[in-house]
Amino acid sequence: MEKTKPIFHSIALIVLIVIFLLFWHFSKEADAVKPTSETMPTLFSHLSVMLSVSLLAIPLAFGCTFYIEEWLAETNWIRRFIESKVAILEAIPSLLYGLLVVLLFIFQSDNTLLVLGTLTFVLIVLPVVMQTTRRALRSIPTPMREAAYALGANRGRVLAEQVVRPALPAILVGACRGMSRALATAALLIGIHAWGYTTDITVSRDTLTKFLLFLGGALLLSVPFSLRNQR
Amino acid sequence: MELANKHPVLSIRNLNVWYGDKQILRDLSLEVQHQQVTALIGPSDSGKSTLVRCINRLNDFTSNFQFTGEILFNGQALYAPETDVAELRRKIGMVFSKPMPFRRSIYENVVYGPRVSGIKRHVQLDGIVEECLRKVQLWDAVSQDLHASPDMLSNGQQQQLCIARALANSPEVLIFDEPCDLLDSAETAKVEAIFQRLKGDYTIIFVTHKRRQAARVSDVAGLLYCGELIEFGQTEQIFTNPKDKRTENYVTGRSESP
Repeated sequence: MEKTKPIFHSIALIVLIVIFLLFWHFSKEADAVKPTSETMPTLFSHLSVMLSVSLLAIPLAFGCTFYIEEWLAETNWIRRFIESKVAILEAIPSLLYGLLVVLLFIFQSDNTLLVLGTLTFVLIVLPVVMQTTRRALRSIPTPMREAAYALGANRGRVLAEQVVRPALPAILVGACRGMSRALATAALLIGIHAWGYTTDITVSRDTLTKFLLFLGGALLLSVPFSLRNQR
Repeated sequence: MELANKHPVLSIRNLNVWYGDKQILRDLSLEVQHQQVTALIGPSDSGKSTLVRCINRLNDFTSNFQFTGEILFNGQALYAPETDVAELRRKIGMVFSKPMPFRRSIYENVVYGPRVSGIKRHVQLDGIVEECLRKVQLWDAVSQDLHASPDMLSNGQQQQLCIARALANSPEVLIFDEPCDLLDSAETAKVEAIFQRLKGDYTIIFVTHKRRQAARVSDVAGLLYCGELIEFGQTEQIFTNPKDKRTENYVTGRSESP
């Protein structure tokens, strides 16, 4: 039981380093893209933001929640502090995050929009994923874990087989929910972006079609998630 | 038997247990003999479950758990730092009051313990499954669909499956924590019949708040109240000729709290 702890720590560290390097790589390349009024480049830059967000936020959220839920005692002050703050952050509208980032970063620094966008989205996604992961882990009853411990399973095994496996569907839905919240915000931005940069009120038909196609796709994608969440 | 009597399987000496500031067990000492059924009776909240959870070391996960005293298992200190806890829990099996089959097939439920301890050969695992399910008299009911989910079983059958799952580790000691709490009388009778079959092969510790059940099943009984062991001795003596007035009141049903 105690032996698994350092292994867990080192795996978490390696994952974080890899994610950070990937993130660094992506952000360097993508900074070269100039802001444009076209939908497709904007869409692609958004997708690359989403990719780095998912690589950064989701493992971080999973790691944090696992650590808090499974290793820290319920009375631990760090755990109580983080749990209450995450619950508050989850409920904050994404617009406020946007304003915060504009105030804190954009007025202060150079034009590194992509990194800022990614960080903002990480802030939006993190609490949502943490909260749903926490609920998924809590839904596994303690007697179930104890039954496995009583049969001689060690902590890592109980976590993998009795906790993560049954909770995995709910955890993944949480990840999707977090990402779709960010995507929904991003989709609005693409719309505003595309309209805002054209001096002419009439948008080119091409851009509009692509935009509508994208919106339609996003709506279609959201249907299965909304169905799953209602249960 | 005489030889076995000299070496108790478990001996608990001056055990005090606290959860936070609340003291659950007070200066408790008892010995569990080889291949006997030891019943722990007492009203709820008297510390019976806490005691058996100490023996299985399940309290390790309770953050504010503290204890003083000593528990010896075959002469070795249970809480010694070099104890392999997983190995220990394999030797001291436990069945809980609520049947908790894992969300996998009946077969996989039974072989969970052996798989954890590294047995991989299918022939061997098949043998273990049949042997254990026969011991708990569940084999005839489920032999046709071993790979079905345990959800289709009744509550009593799920509990039988949980007993089989504990037996698959071939433990020395089996702890039952109010195993019939959620079962009806017919299912209870079945579990008691299983006890009678297991009696010769395992040392059984059995927690219950049903006095008559303890009288029927056990060889040795102990009465716990508010964390204190009020009386401990042969079941017959406890139920017919108790030394302590409080035991007499409780076992005769004159009062619910001794």
